[in-house]
Amino acid sequence: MPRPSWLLDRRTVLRGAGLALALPWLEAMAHAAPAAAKPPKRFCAFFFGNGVNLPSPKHADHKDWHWFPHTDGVDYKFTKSLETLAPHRGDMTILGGLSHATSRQLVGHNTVDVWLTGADIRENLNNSASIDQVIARHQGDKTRVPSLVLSSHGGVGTKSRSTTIAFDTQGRAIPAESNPRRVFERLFEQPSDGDIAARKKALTAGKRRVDFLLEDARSLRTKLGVPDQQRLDEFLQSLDEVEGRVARAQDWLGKALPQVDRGAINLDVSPKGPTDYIRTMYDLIALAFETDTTRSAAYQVTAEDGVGICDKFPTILEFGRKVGHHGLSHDDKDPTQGWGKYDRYLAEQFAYFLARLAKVREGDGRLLDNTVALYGSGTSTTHNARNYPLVLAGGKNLGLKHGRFIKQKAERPLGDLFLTLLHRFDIPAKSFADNTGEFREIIAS
Amino acid sequence: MLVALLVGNSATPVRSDEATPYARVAPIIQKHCVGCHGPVKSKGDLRLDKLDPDLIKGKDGDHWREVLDRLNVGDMPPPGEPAMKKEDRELLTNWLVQERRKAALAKNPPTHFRRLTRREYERTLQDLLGLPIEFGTRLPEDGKSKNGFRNDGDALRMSPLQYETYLQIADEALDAAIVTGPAPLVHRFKLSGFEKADKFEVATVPKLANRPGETFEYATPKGKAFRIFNSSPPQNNKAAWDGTLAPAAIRKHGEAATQLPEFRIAVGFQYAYRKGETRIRVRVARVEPPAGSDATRVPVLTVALGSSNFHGVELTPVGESQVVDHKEYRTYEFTVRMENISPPNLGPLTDKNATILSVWNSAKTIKGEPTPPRLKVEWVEFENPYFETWPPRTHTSILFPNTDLQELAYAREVVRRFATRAYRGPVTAAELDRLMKHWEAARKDADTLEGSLKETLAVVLSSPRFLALPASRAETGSREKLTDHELASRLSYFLWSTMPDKALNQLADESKLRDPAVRSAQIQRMVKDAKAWQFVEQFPDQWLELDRLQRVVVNKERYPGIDESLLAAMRSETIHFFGEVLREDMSIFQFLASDFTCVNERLAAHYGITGVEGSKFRKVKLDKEHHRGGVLTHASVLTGNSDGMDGHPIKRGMWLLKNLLDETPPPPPPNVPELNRDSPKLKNLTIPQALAAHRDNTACVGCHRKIDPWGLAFEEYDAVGNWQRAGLGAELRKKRTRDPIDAKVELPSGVKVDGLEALRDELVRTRADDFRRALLRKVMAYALGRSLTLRDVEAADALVPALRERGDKFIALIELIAGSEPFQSK
Repeated sequence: MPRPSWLLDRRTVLRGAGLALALPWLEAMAHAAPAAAKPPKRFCAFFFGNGVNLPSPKHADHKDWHWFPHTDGVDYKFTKSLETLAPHRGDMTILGGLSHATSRQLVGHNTVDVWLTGADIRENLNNSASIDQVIARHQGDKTRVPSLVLSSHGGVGTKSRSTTIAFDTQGRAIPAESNPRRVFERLFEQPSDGDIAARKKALTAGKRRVDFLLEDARSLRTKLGVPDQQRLDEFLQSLDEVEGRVARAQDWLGKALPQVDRGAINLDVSPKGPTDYIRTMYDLIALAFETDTTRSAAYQVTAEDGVGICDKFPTILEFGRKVGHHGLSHDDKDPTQGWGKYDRYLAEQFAYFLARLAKVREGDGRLLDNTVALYGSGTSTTHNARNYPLVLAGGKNLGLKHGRFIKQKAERPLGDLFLTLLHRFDIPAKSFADNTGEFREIIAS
Repeated sequence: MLVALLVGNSATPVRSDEATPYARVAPIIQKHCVGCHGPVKSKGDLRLDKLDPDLIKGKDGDHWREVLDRLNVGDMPPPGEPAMKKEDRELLTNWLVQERRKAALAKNPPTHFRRLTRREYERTLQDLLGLPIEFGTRLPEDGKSKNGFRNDGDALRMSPLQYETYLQIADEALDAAIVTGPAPLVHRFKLSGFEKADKFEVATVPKLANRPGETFEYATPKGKAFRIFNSSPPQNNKAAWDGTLAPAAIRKHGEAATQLPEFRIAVGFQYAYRKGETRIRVRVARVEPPAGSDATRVPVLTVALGSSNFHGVELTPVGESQVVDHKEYRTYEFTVRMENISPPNLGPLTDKNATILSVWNSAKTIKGEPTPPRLKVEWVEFENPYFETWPPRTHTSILFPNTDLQELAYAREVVRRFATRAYRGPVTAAELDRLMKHWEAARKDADTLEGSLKETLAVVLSSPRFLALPASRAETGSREKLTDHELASRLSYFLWSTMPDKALNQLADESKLRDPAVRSAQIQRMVKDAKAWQFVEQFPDQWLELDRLQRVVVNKERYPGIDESLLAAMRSETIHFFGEVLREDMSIFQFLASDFTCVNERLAAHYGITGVEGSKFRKVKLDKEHHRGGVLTHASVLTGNSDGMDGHPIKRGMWLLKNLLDETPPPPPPNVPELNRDSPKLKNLTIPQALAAHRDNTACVGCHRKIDPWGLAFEEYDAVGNWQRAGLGAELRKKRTRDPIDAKVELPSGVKVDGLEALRDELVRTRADDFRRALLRKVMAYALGRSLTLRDVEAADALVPALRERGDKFIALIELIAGSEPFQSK
């Protein structure tokens, strides 16, 4: 059989260290006090559909191809499923026994919609904000692009089988970009004059309105008694912040783009060559972080159920006997040949991303230490919306502690982890979805 | 009626909370406390002789709280010291509770500025623009203040995200109201021929001569503009399809969301109708039952719009369902804004991501019914966007037709008229100048006049003067009279949750609303207006804490058949009952005891009331054997104050004290564990016995002696409100316990009553003024939208005699509140 084209050496391999990049976050901090110039905090999440291969203890492959290690704690041993992540052992934690409580009874495929949101979709499909968007809301105006939403399929797809994992603060699906060239253009190329003019006009109108409202509120304030003034002050503070956001968005219009060599990234890829494609998507996120073009990214590596071209990745890669990722997950006779190997393959791509981040120096540490990366699915085995397979990596400078497999005695809300992560990003949230507490185990004491 | 007579006679009410003066408790403190906490010794650095007995102005509130907690816990005076007499302890705790309550009220600032609630904001925007769009659903839910009201300024916060959402909604609302350019193409489809199992006919409808907007050509020379698909027959049973609709309901799906009813006409458009008004017309008739059949039930027409998703649909019923009791075809018309309908996702439209229109027969399904009521449909017409004129009325009511004004003068007049309505009062010249300055800057950047005006009107819709009430412009001092327009607003938001209408505004313009006769006539009018539903739906819900229903998890094994729709019906009973008392201007004592209630079929079945059909609520007369009457016996209250397994006497007692008598007991002292019914000590006790054990604990006795008896009198009703002495309630009880029902209690006043009916009579007989006072305070708090100040409470309390004189009529109560000093002042 001829070697498929995507198995040839990648034409250009981006090595972050080899690029002469300005450090725009330093530039952005230039007008802040020098002490404030700490490296920025990034968040990224990577989703794959259909869960993972978890052969039962009776199965011959239980020992080697069970996605979760067989023992927990610091001494856990990787099975072949996650072995490719071994170089990053000290930078990652495997998490078991976590799930969103309200969707546990639903067919697992639905969890793609709520993986990052935890919304209750038992009655209707109204969603809520995903954690990447909560973080983007908090710090997105500090970068040119507030957040990056990617998926291998693109768009938003149909509800309950969404092809995006990001939902805005009003719960609306955010269309995901699947074309690496367009992602690159959005991140690093000057928009057209027409686009800039339209954006400028909108921002000017926004600024005009907020300025008027601030003045309006201030003039009202002088006419109120003290307790009423305190209430109006909440209006004023809110408007002040909105004004700040508009002003910062205007600033970005005038700022120079980071210098990135277009040839340094392989944009000639398509989902028909999954390895190059997935790695390019990871490259783009790494580059966006490295240049501080964004601090939040959500990438749906593969969709749930049999949706889209990404379902065919394992077939193109010639894993297993059945067609498509969803098909493999239902190969009861020999799940490992296809499904298990594909688990390993997907983990390998994630390992590639972690290696990319680990190579970039930033401040006194590595880009990886300033980046929290969540990798996983919304079902353990296919259709079972409990015990999500999850890996949390990076973020040492945010106080995360790694090197263990943390299991739960009883199923626990994933919202616990999300709330703790939000706190690591200095977001004073009180709850996330149906969390019942925090997830202190992940914090270095 | 006996009840009314008793009320009339209660001229000298007995009050349990007669004020205790400090002079009566000072000697007790001196005798029992100062020995250790005084000049000689000051244990724990605490000197009770030095504490300021003025809890309002003094700084020792926290110390007094500590004193109260220690007394309640029972560890002071400590063992070895002379014990405090029971009466002394009671007197001291009474004084502390009373002073702490007053101090809490005194802390409430006299505020006059509050943001609109989500609902008020939505309704105001709808009325202002004439657009029935659910704008508010995008805002976060409002909080609830400590007094339980959602329109209390204390709980109405603002955040940057919320403000940004207001800005977005303002833009979108004005885009929907104000148009530019010629009329758009209109999608007009007629669907017919439903008797064929596989395909019905879809035809475009030509534009009528007197209507604007050309019809969109669905069939293009190359084919169809987009795919329309249909699914009229039940998918698994095409053979049996004859085009008529047997009763069916939306089905729950095993995964998420819902599926179409089994029998329906449904059409999917691979087109995303996201905006504008949609009009649907349906021509239907009842299928006559076969000769000889004695079937009497009739079909019910339901129309819904929504979208499809991966495995189902999300549908929203459009308008009200219609009973179809005629055999000849008649046409029904439904309209809805597509902004209120769950749209397909962005991105490519497919059968699984399409706009769905469905028509079905929503009469109750009865298994095995020989001749179910059937509906036949001749045709269904769909039109979007639907408008009678171009530009539409929403546009011309803001951008009025201009004949002779220059652009600047025209813009100024448009902005003035709009801001006057949005700000619910006249706009000063200075304000208008500032707005016009904004418009002039906007005009330079905008391509069209409409565009620039939209920008400035959006500013008006985002101003605190629009988003808040009453956007006071008081110069100084806090007891100024409201302006005429502010008074109109206060009345309007009180009873309608929206801006004043034309009539109220006109009276405000003429300064007539201060005239009690005029105001009274307006209140009568407002109460009868459909908008008063806002008061009817919100006030009792918040006053009587009906949201407790949502938090109760009813045990499915003990109470099979209790589901969401029954819980919703329980809430509706109280709402409709309240509406009846209000609209018919009955006595407020109907809330305590009445010989009627409001039920639908579902709730009537739960209560064992026969002869009620359909989902609509209606007034029914109650007989003695129903053991119902007044809110105390409403399933909403009984279930909401249960633990899902049994009735919960403490919750029920607390609820009664808090809401009907406004005597909220103090919270338990810190570190006192909750009553744990699983503890081995209590496991084999009945609830009354367990509570008695709880009361025996000194830490609890002080307060629980005042709470528990009230709640225990409810014991005749189980966790879902069933009467337990007979019927279904008794059967259910038999399955879980052999213990007899014990509802005999001794009230704190020493009076002994047995059961809820006796308790109710006792309330009416001896606590009538307390109930009047409580309701006056609750309505006052809701009407003012704030936590009451001491002064507000005193003003409410002072209305008791007047209310009594006016026969305790509910509308009289509203008039008294509206005429009170706090209501009229800022």
